[in-house]
Amino acid sequence: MSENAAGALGVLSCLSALVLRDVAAEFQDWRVALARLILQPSVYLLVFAYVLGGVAVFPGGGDYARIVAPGVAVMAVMQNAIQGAGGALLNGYYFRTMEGWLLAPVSLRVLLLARVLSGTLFGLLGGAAASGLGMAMLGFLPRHPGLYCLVLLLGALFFALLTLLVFVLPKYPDRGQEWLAFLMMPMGFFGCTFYTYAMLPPSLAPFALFVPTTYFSEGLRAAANGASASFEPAVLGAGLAAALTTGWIAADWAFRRRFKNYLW
Amino acid sequence: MTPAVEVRELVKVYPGGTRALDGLSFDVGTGEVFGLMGENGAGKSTLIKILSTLLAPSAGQVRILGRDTRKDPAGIKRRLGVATQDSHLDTRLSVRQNLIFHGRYFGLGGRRTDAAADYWLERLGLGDKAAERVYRLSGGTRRRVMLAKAFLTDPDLVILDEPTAGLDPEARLRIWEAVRTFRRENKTVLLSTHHHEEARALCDRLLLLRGGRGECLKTPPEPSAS
Repeated sequence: MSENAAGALGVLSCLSALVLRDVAAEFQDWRVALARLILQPSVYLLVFAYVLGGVAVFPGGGDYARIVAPGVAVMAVMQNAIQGAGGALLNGYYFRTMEGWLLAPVSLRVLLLARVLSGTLFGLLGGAAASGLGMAMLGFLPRHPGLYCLVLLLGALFFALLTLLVFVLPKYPDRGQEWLAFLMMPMGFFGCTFYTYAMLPPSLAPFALFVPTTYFSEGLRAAANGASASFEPAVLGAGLAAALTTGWIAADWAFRRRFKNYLW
Repeated sequence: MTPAVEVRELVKVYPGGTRALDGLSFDVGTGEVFGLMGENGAGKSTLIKILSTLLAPSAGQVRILGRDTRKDPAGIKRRLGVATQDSHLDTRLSVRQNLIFHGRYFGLGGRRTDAAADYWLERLGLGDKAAERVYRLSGGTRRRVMLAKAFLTDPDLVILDEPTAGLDPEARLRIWEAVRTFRRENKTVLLSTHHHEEARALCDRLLLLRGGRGECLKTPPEPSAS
């Protein structure tokens, strides 16, 4: 085997070990991990689809379950990607375990990729669990399952990148935790998760265009229902691409800047 | 022969302006056990973090096993074992899982990692703790697991930050023996210690750090001088 091939194999082995370690640590107590995956989406689906969906009248009518189920999946993707990507950083900071993975024999970019993959994997698991619950509780089935899975994956990737950026950009990650708490409310509730973009009053609609969750919620709705009631596919695609590209460039820069001189 | 560690005019200034290292120069030969001594705040931990590639020097040059820490940190880490003062073990995982994942980071195959983990668990008296989750362990036991981790991948250089602090005499002797065996394979050990007895028992040479500057010695200084 050539030296380059052996090197690439070593990097892949390390990358997979870094991700598997996060999974092993998270699922050490699998009952708690499972409860975390299903509890929040169950409550959201119960409250918004059953209770609110049963009493409210929505403009244009239609099945509210098909509006809210993809939105709840996006919320679950966001929560779990944050948990997956941020957990290793926060644990590492508070319990001094970060050096354990910083000393792994790979470049900072590979370490970043491992953190991103962990966050994406957890986000995807959360999205899959929420979508499964939506199917079981509301009889909701996506019309384009492949596209639906792709949007879940891209959403998980974006929120993993955003989490890493927010945790490594400030001087200490506990400040990042505060930033994230501040960002999550508008990201979750103003990102067209529990309603469509078309349902927003015209005075508020332009603001939602600056919330990346809008594109993931509407993208998932389009994959679930056949088309988005609010956006053309090209607009959705451009929104998703812009969010992911900006997220990757910013997270890559911030991560390498933080860890090439590890002062935490 | 290329020295295992070459440090030239090393300076480290932290963002607040604290000058932790101030023009430090020294070499560590291959196969040497090299001690670092100095009072708290003398710059030992800063030096260890720079040698481990975690911290970037403000000025000067550091070469580990012939590689520059700025240019090839991944290549250095591949041949390095580090036991820092703080445990960086994952407390949610068992002792064995911590070692196995560490071996996988370094590309060791399943059987090789298992065998190395078994060997070091026995060697450091941790055989009965293998399945224990780290959060249940005492500080001294965690320190021994850290040492097992540092030696696990058969590195060419190990950096041990106060490896026997807080350990009972039996555990301390086990670690001394592990260091001596490692050195017999012509591998290099850099260890920081506050114990004169330990420095005398293990080290070929010492660097006494004071205010970010160093002085190389053959034997540890008298306690009052350090």
